[in-house]
Amino acid sequence: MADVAIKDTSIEELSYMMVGRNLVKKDLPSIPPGDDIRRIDDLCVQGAGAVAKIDHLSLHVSAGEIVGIAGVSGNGQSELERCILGLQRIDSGTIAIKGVDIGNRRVAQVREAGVSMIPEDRYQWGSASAASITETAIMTHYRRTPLSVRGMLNMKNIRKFTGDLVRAFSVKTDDIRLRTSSLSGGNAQKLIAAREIAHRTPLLVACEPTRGVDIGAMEYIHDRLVEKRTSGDAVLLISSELSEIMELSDRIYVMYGGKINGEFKRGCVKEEELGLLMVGGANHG
Amino acid sequence: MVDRKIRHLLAPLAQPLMALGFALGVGALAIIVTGENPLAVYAAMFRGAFGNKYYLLTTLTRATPIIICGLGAAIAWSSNYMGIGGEGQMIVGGFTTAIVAIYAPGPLWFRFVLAVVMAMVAGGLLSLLSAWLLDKFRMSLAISTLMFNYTAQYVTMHYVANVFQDTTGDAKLTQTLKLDEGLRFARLFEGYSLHIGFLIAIVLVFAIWFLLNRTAFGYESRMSGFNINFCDYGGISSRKVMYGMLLLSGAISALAGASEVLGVQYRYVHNNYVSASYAWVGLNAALISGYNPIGVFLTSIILAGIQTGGAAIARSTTVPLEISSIIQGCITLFISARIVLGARRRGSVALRGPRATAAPAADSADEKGRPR
Repeated sequence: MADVAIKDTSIEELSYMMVGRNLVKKDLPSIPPGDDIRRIDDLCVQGAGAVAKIDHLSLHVSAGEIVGIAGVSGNGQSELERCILGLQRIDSGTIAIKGVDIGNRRVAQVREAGVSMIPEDRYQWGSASAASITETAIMTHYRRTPLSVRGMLNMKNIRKFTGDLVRAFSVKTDDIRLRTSSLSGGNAQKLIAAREIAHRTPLLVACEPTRGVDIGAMEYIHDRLVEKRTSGDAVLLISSELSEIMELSDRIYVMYGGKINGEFKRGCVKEEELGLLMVGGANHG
Repeated sequence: MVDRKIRHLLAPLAQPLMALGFALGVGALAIIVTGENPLAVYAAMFRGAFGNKYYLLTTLTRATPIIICGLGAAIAWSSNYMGIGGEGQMIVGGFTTAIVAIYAPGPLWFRFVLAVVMAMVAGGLLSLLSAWLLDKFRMSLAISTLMFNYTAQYVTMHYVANVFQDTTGDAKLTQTLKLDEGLRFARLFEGYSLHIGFLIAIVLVFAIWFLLNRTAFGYESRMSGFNINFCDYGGISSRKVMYGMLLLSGAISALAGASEVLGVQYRYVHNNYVSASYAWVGLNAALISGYNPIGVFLTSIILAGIQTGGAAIARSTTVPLEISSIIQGCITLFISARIVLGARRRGSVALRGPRATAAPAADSADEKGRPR
């Protein structure tokens, strides 16, 4: 079923071919690195506790790359996510998108500046279970023509928009008028991913984009992320799923205790090494 | 398909009807205790509420301020701002209407319009004050709005009693002068109490429905009621929703007061709205109907019917007037039981996995009836 040269393959790859699945090591089409989309310098957030949640963190994301942030959850990823979108105040440091400082701006301004986000928790942040699928789908889009004109919603266009999203991401539902809670986890996640990717913003922040979803939905979302990256946009992937990070990222940061504890290019690091850094090991990279 | 559509439309009715059924059951027990036949009493009650043109129109007159207050409460509560200041706003609205209509200079139509507009401004400002306290000082909306009910009641009492008191009559009631004939709402039927205010309430029902379901602002406020985090994440300014909806809610509740002054009493009478507890019954209607404007309309008429019907049976049987309070209280109780049950079920979702994710019973009627 497959014919590969010895130098191009690995044990993992062979084993996956043997079991009939090819989940690992997507081939990321190579494209020239673009300009900086997102740059975070020296970011600090104290949080409620005695230990700073984010401690002098710096990173950058360029156009046409997926940058993965690996880390055990609870090491400041949630805070970082909220800072980026403007949901949490930053104490010092800067967050810039395309050179424009967006630190401590309102969410609407940050989104306007070109950020979309698949949130960490799809039920807490990403949707409203009691709202209809349509209503969940148009969040962040409804202010734009043709979904609304001068504050009046255009229901026909809204239904069409939602229908398009649902089809494009093959979200399984009987009727888009049903409640969001009628969707399975994977389908809810696909809906949220569809909504955010539809913005076509220069930067997409994907936080745990496939947590708790089935394999089919996971591969689907992964493909869309790669597609977005290859079209020249930047993706910041924050995930505690190491295989996901390894598979998708052009570049990998390891986050530990609110700090960056290592940075690697794609293919230049082994899973064990990342694992060690994720729990606070010393950086030999 | 048609079947599903009908079910979809009827689904929101299931819960209120169930609560009504249970409440009538409890009421029946209470009636048995008084030694009467519950069925006969309920039949008499129904006749007393809707039985003939006079009773029906009386019920609708009583329902008018309840509907308007209910709408005011519904928009605030559905956007997650649970104010209970409808009564104070209604008082301020009624008082302002009377004073402006009686004492403002100018032609009648101008005084009329000015009175209504000023009433809505006054009610809106009172509500805004609570919103501001919440925004700036994190003061509980429930407490501030509740307290302002008393403030409104006694400040207006002072002005009515000491400044604007009607001294022409014999009885020393705390009330203002009567309005000029030309300032009063027209009656809908000759010789019956129902007035234009009822039509205003109907228009308002559709206006609010449109606002909530067909405008961007309504979408924002409803989402804010569903999940405030979702709104923050989506970039909706919760402050805008809060100030906007509380302002509107106060203005609408004030309109209920204006409608009472212009359509029923033709003057501001101290304690009138408090003793009839229009605002509270309206809030009940909003809760029972799940903040659906059309539901508020129907529920308000039923609740008003329970009150007028209760008064009718108190006249003709040994069952005391309080039976209507018992039934109404039980309806609220069973409705709030739904809220708690719904929350518990939703809480168990995380523990038991996705199959248990069915929405709270009442709301999933459209989903249950369909083959999977």
